[in-house]
Amino acid sequence: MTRIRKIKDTVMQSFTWIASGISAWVLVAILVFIFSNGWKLLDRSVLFGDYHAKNIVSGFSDEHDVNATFTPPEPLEDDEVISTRFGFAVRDEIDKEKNHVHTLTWVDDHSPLRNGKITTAGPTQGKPAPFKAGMNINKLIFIDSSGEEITVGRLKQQSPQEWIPILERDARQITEFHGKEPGGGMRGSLVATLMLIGLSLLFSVPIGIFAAIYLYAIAKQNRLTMFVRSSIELLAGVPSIIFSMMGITLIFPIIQLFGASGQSIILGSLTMAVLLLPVLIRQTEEALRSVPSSYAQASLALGATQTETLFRVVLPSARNGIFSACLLAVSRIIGESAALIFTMGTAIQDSPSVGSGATSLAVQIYVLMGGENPNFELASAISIVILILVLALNLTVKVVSALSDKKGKA
Amino acid sequence: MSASKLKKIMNRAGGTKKETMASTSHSSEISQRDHIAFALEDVNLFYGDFQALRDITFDLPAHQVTAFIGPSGCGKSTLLRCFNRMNDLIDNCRIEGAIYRNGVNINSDSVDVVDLRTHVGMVFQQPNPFPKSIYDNVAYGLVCQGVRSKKVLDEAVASSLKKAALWDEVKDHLRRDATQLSGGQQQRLCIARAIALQPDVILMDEPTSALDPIATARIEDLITQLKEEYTIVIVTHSMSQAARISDKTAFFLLGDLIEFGPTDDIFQNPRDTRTEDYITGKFG
Amino acid sequence: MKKQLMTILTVVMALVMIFTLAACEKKPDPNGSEPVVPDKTDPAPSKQDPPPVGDKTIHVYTRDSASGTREGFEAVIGFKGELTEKANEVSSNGTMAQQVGQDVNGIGYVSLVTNFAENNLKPLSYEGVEATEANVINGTYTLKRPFCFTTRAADDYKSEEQKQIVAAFLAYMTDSKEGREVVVAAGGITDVEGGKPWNEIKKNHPIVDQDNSALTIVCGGSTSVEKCVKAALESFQGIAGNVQFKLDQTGSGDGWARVLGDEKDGPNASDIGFASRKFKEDKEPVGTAMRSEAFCQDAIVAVVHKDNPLSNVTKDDLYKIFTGATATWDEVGK
Repeated sequence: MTRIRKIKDTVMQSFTWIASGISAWVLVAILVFIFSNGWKLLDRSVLFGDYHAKNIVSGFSDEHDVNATFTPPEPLEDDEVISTRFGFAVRDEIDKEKNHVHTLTWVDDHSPLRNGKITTAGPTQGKPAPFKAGMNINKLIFIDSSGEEITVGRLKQQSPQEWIPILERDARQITEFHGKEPGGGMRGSLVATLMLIGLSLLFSVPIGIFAAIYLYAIAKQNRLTMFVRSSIELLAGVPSIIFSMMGITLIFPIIQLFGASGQSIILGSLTMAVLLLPVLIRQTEEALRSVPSSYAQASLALGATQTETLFRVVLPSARNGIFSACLLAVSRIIGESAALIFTMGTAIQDSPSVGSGATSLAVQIYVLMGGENPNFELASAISIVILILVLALNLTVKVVSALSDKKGKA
Repeated sequence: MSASKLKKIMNRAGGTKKETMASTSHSSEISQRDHIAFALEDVNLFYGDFQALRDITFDLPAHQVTAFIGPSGCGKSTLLRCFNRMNDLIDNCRIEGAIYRNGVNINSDSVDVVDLRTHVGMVFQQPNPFPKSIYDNVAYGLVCQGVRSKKVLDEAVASSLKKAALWDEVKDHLRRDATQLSGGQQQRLCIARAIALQPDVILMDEPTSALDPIATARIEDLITQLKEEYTIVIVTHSMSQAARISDKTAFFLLGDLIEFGPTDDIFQNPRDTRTEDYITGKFG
Repeated sequence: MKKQLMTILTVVMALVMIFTLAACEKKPDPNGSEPVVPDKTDPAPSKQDPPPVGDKTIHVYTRDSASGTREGFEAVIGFKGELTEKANEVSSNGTMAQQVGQDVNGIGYVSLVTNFAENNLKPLSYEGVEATEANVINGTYTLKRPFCFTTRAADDYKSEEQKQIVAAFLAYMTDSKEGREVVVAAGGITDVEGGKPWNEIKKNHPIVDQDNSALTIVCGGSTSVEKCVKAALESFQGIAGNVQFKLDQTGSGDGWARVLGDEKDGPNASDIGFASRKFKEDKEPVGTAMRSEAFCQDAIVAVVHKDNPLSNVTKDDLYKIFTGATATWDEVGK
């Protein structure tokens, strides 16, 4: 080889290296970004907690032991301010919406402030009010020695260094506490996503499989069949935002039969079901085609009918492919956002129900990023959960395929 | 008597090809005799415009092994598939003429194809057990018929496997997947599977061409045993196999039935030069 | 030779990857705000840019056309219709804060309620007057506007209870001492002491003592008011039977439309519409509303990145910057 050819060869090869390197790097960069932002956030309260903050207003009727003294178990940080009379410590922090909040960093188990009862009208009225670390204090109302009601707290434009000493000095009896249990959890969306997956598969899988069987075995190879097949292929390429338009106009009257109205999980599932049909049909048909025709021949030669052959021999043999198709569909549902924004809505729900709107995990990311203050950390945390889900799904496909192949080899 | 008419008469007794003649009732009547499994009359088969079988007329004997021989593409497998109407599955296949079985033309629209296939079983060239257990494979046909009783199924499975000379090897592993068996075992399983439906006829399309010599020998022995109970039609590329195990042989060439008669006659005293050329290996 | 080249190439690429990943990891920390995926506009959100030196181009940020903040700003500075074509439009107060905080050469304008430190911003004095609540109240800071609300017509609420809870909330936020306190804590400007105690006011609104968890107050309109209104709603929730609320702030222009205008019966129908300016008498008549008034004052503050040495602007400076007459930083003030 001449030298020039050698160089050319090396250069071309290095291009292939670089291209792969870039692809790999982009993938890794995304993962690193998501994990670095979201990993520290992942704990039980984020995974299973409510998204919406609960505003707590509680009242205290019992007399406190005004001479009690509480000490924290560990030494405090510099910016934590402690109330030794009432057994809690507070720190000024910035929350995710870039607002100042006074966060409880420690609450003693015997703090009298744990004995509050919720005063908000409704089913929770009179129940024990939470007062624990992680909550925010907006204000405390107490009675001083002259019987007057005094209010202290963040809402009075006071820093913890200012209002805690006043509390320590003047308070005889605390009467009211206004605070907030911060939310920032994803449980609602997690549940909504599971409901969405269940309903969508419920509608799309049977229809998809039967349609695939029809196309594979029963339809005559004529113009009509070709037309049906082309339509399905075309549908597979339609952008999902168009499905959402179709969902809110065409499917809307159908869900009113189910008793729902407006944006709801059922509307979202039906829209997703339509979206998934082309993919399911195509994949199932391919899975059916991959079954050796010798099985069908043998079955028919044994005096089985067409449908018996399909359902007793062909379909069971194709089950791996069908299962993969279903899992592909589930991944699609988890990642879908455009089709769901209009049909399921963008209101994050803590207790989703089928007949009302909710957000899936992906849509929650959209909502979090689209507001006044994009909540990057929570969005990344949700991304991690999504990635783990999709990874688990893919692994499941591989494991199940391997197992059912192994069953043959056992 | 013209030469053609002579030929016709000789074919009736297992002689050479005869000319087309209208004698539907005759064939029908013949097929009802005990010793005739199928009576064919002027069978022509087309794949689109291509004619694969031309004026096939002969009587297939019952309780004997009949071998179809001939070079590739001569139509022997196609004819085999006519007996259980597997050609129906091919889209542009058109058949004319009649094949009588027990007095009824199986090509007529009134015949229940699914039922026909329970009486005329088939074993394929490549062993094709279902990816199910051995038990489920053999029981498949009966289960489709609606048989639910475990006792009945157990008995049918056992007796079929015994007749197929496979029982001893698998009786303790009935739940094992059928694809685990060796090639020869799988083919015997397919035979057992067909037998389970208690057919009259077993069609075999080159059943041993994918197997090693030892497995082949076992199957050939099995075929010789089975002919007591069943009519066997076997398509084979191996003339030695045909010579070993068949009672009657039919030689096909390019869609025509050239010669049909007792195997010994065909191989030792072929009437047609083409037959002789094929047997001596000049072509095919 | 090829093998060596391959090895060198691999090592170099690996180093590059590790380096960029390390840089990527560090990005979120320094200022506590997140490295946003840059949108189509020019400014590169990189912290490694050198501080704005004399001849860097000014990157002008403005709000979209539905914004009340923009209207207020344009009205006071007087450049309506003459905005430079190079201005980058953003759609909310928060986005403006974020984008300018990441662009060393940027300048924009936000509501006084915005947390400047957290967003990496430096608020500019206007005509020599610092932007503080005190200066707004005493009238020396003149870049200001009212936060206003308007409601549906009294008979246009979907139920009597809906109407009552809305009325109760507005009474809390606008009239009561406690409500005003919350608004002030969130950055709005109003007279807290002049408010009445909530305990008195709530006598007129018995609905707050019921379980209201099935009701939802829907708000729309200005994005600048979101902070104050959300704080007010959250504190109201605990004393009003856990009433739910939904905020869909898209710009002052939508405030009136969703309660009295042509969106009032559509999917965006709201109970209360907010604007960071007065409602225009000709285009947005509020005569039929159940209640319509200003609930606090707000200042508009011109902001730059905290590393920008600029600290004061005059009306003339801003006019020249926003019309494009002044194109680079060293020309400001000349």
